[in-house]
Amino acid sequence: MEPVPVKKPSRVALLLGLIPFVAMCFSVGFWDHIDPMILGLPFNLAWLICWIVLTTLCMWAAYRVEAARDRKDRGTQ
Amino acid sequence: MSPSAVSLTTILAIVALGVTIGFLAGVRRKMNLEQWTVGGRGFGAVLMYLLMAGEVYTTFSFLGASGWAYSRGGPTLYIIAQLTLAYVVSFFLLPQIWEVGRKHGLQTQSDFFNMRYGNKYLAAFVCVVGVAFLIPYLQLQLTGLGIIVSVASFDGIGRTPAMVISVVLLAAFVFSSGVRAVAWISVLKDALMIFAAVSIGIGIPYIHFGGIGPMFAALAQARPTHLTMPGATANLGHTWYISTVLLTSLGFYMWPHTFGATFTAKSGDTLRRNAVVMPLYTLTLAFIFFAGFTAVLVVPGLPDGDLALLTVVRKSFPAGFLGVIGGAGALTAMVPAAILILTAATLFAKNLWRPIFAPAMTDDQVARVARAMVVVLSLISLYLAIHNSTTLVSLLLLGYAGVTQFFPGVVLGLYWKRVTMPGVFTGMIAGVATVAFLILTHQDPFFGWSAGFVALCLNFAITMILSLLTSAAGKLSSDGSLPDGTLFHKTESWKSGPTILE
Repeated sequence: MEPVPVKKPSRVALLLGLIPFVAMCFSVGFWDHIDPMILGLPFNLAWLICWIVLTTLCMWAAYRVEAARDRKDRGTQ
Repeated sequence: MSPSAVSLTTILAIVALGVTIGFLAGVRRKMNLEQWTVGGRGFGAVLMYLLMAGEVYTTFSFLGASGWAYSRGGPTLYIIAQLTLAYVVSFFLLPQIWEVGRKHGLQTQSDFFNMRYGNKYLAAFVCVVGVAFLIPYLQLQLTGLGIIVSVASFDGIGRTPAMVISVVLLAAFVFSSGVRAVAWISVLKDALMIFAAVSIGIGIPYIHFGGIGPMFAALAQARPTHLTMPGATANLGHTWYISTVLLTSLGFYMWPHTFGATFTAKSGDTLRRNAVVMPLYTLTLAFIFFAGFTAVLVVPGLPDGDLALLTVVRKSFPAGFLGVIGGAGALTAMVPAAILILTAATLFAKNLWRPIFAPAMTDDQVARVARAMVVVLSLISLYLAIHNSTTLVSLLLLGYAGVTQFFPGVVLGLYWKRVTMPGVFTGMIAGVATVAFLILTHQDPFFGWSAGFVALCLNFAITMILSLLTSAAGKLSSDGSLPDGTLFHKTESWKSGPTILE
């Protein structure tokens, strides 16, 4: 049986994926407070909701990076 | 009609509508279990999306998340971060898992371990642990169904009889519908769910406070500490938050049913696109949180937080609307429960029973074992649901603590060429044992850290150290690819023909 070449994600894509982790997880101490309220929501909840949308943007960028790399790899084969 | 008759009839009508849709979707096909476990790669993109979405929104997000928002407050925010970040993790993991699966014809999580590490006992262990930790997830759905029926009957039907009715309904549902049907019912379920979430998330704060903003202002004044961590708890602070978000986002695709669903995708690219768009689905959850937080002020002092959402709905809306919300909730419990039961039963029959105890079994016999397992698993979950009073969120966290122990074996198996079977096997046993010990001795959180995360770190460390010690003798390829064919031990369990579940 042929070995399976598993393609590692590119470093740029990994960095883009790290951004939501920093924003929504590791930095919790910086944004876990009620004031200032944003549009009537406590700050921590507003921050997380905002980052749901921003995460999609980050991953869309990562997708573009990976897709461009795939095209390039196919071109050189 | 009395209010309870109105709401119960509405719930029953919605469930009946769901079952009818399922029946119409499945009527021209044989209920083929293989269709779900393998035939998968033939699943169109649409059906796959439906299944994946159907698995994400369960009673956990509906009653569990609002229940914790009510009883715990701030720490509940972990759920928003977890779901969003789980898709980020999936971007870097699922396309690769899919690729390996396509090359080697894999159907289940056990198959992956069997192929990568060439040891049927490791594969069987993965199967046992997977099925064991699916049980709390299943138990959670039954508890949720029990709550829905009992609140909708205006407490006329007790929790226990309500759960017995639910399990009978569920088993009938699984036997009559099959998996393809379940996928189509999840269309109705998700549409109702989004409608329910948005209407109660906006409606309930509006009715009692004139809007979401005034509601939060009132809550921040009345309970200044409720909205931040640790909220109404003593020990669920920032360390707990970070370790729990990591544990659950890494573990999201380690469930046997979510991992298995990966193989049903049309291409790796589909999975990557999915990972980009799916975080937006998490937005619905914010509305559920609004309802849960409103309940803190409107219906204070409930004995069980998981009752909060439906109790506040009952207090704010007429009985017919309670029935609609209850019906949405009932489908939200039944669709995932059906997927969980089918996955666990098939996994048990095909990846544990046949390879270890009865290699000569025919496919018909495997199907019979699977069918018997549907009944056994339902009864076990029912028993646990009746005798256990843990919150819905705690039940799911227990499951996560278990299944995330697969993560090192999966991620290192994909990306680290030196990882070995003894390393992964020992690490996983140590991880599962640590989880069992810490949770059974009530040491979760462990010095502020989520117990599952502590076990995961230990698991990683043992896997890596033992792999380095044992890999000198292993067969390695120089380009970082997976080991060559000599390590692949194909077994009967995944070479077999279709298994029929009528």
